[in-house]
Amino acid sequence: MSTSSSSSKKIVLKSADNETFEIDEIVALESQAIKNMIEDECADNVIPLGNIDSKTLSKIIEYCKKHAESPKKDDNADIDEKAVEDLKSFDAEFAKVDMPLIQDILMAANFLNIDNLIGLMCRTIADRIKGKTPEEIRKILNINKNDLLSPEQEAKAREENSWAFD
Amino acid sequence: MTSKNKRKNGDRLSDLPKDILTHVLSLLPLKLAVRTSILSKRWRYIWMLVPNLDFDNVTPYEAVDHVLELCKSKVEILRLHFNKWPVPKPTVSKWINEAIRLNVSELDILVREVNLPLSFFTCKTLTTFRLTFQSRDKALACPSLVSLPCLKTLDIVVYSNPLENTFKLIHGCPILENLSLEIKRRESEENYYFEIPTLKRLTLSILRSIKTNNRVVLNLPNLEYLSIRETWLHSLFVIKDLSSLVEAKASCDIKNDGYLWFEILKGIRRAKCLSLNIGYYSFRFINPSSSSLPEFPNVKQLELIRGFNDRAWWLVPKFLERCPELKHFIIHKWYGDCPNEEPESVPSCMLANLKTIKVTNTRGSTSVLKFLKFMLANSKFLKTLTVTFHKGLSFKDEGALSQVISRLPRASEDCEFHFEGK
Repeated sequence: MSTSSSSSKKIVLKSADNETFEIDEIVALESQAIKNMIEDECADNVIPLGNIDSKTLSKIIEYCKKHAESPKKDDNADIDEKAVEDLKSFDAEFAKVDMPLIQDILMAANFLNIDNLIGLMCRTIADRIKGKTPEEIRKILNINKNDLLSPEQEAKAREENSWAFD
Repeated sequence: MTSKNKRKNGDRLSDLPKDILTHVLSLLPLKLAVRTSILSKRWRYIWMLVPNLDFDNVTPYEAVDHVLELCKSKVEILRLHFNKWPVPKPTVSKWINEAIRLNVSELDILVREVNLPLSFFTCKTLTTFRLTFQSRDKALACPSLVSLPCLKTLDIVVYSNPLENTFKLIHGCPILENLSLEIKRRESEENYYFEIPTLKRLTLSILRSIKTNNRVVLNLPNLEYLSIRETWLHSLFVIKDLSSLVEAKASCDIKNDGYLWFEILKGIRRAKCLSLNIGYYSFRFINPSSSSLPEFPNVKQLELIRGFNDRAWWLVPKFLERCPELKHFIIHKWYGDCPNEEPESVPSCMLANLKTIKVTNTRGSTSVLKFLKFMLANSKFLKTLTVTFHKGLSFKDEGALSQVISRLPRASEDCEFHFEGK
């Protein structure tokens, strides 16, 4: 993609903290929401993303770039296999970030409608809370203390689904 | 979304829409998903929206009733795996009935015994159905009317034949695309007719069978993928129409009646991608001197699996000769010896098309080296050779072997070597 970037169409994204990112249109199309905007011709030269900060946005662009560059499934079996492996290890590296950033990415990906990225982030969270105690999970997810169940409520929840708590 | 206040308390996950939270929970085993009900008020009832309910031998099994009662929303996927201990047949029927009432689209059932409820046979939401039941004395019961208008994928494991009712079920699916049928024991003579115009993928496995004159007729004009496995090949495959076939796998062994193998090979010869697992005894029939090996005019990828007989290696050039368009060649787990004399002529695909060779699970026996020597010295346009080593080899052995292989003379200058091991 890097070789052809000079000739391809550009899209500019603006983050909540007013930083601008110029990217190839094909990278932006990884977002279903932006794709719809472009198709409906309601995207100006600059697309403002008032709810996504620059740190999150640059992470998302990194993801979309990689996925846009990666060859899509075709009949060339040997390229496929390598590209799939390559993308897998990219995703694994990409997900090695702290929980607040994962949550920001997830929010933004949900807003921008990037299915693969939502899936990746959800898998990451699921993997991190698997096999953990409720107390550990609350910590991992930064669950607000004000939102906890009362001891009576918790006892009731446990009783209701006792089969899952043995 | 990222206001300063929320940043401070950090719990932004709970602010996400419910469908994201249920997405996370759908990736956890059901038990763990249910346990999130005590995390916080926000999480209290989220699990009930999880669209996939996966029960794997949960105790007590009454938990299924409880969960189905609570999950009022659409259940998309219901998996009932209860094979460790028996669940009463009426209970399983009741669960299936309930899932159908909740508009289930995918049902996956593994139980000792089951009577499918009547509602099942006319379910309008089901797209995928998997059924394995282990009891040997109960055949699938099936009413005369079956209508599953949305079912595209059917995956059935039956203990024994006859399969009359199974085929009744199959023929009640007017848009069936994927069919997998496994027969644990074929105990009596029975012919199978697969004439399903919508079918794209078929996997047929017959694990044990008695010697009978059993015919399997395939008239599947839209089939793209075919996998045949019969541990001891006793079936005569009658291929009427496989004109859309792209990929075929066959894994069989045979003690007598070698022509049965050739009937399969003839039937799948027009595929582009072939994987063949030719058993030990089959080599009495399929061997370098057998002249009836058909031509495979479209094969771009060929995979040969296993081989013990000492003539097995030299079956390779025989196969290559029959595949003029071959680009990718893969050999898995071959152990046989390789004779000293090289084949008389070089197969034409090696002089024109062959781009990649992959040899897996090798210990680097002299036979393998002789084979590689021949392949490298004669494959004019080879781009990559990939060798994966047997687990039993030490790091040092692997290094030494890689050295030896890298030094073999090669006809293609830009051929790359990949070694995969420790």
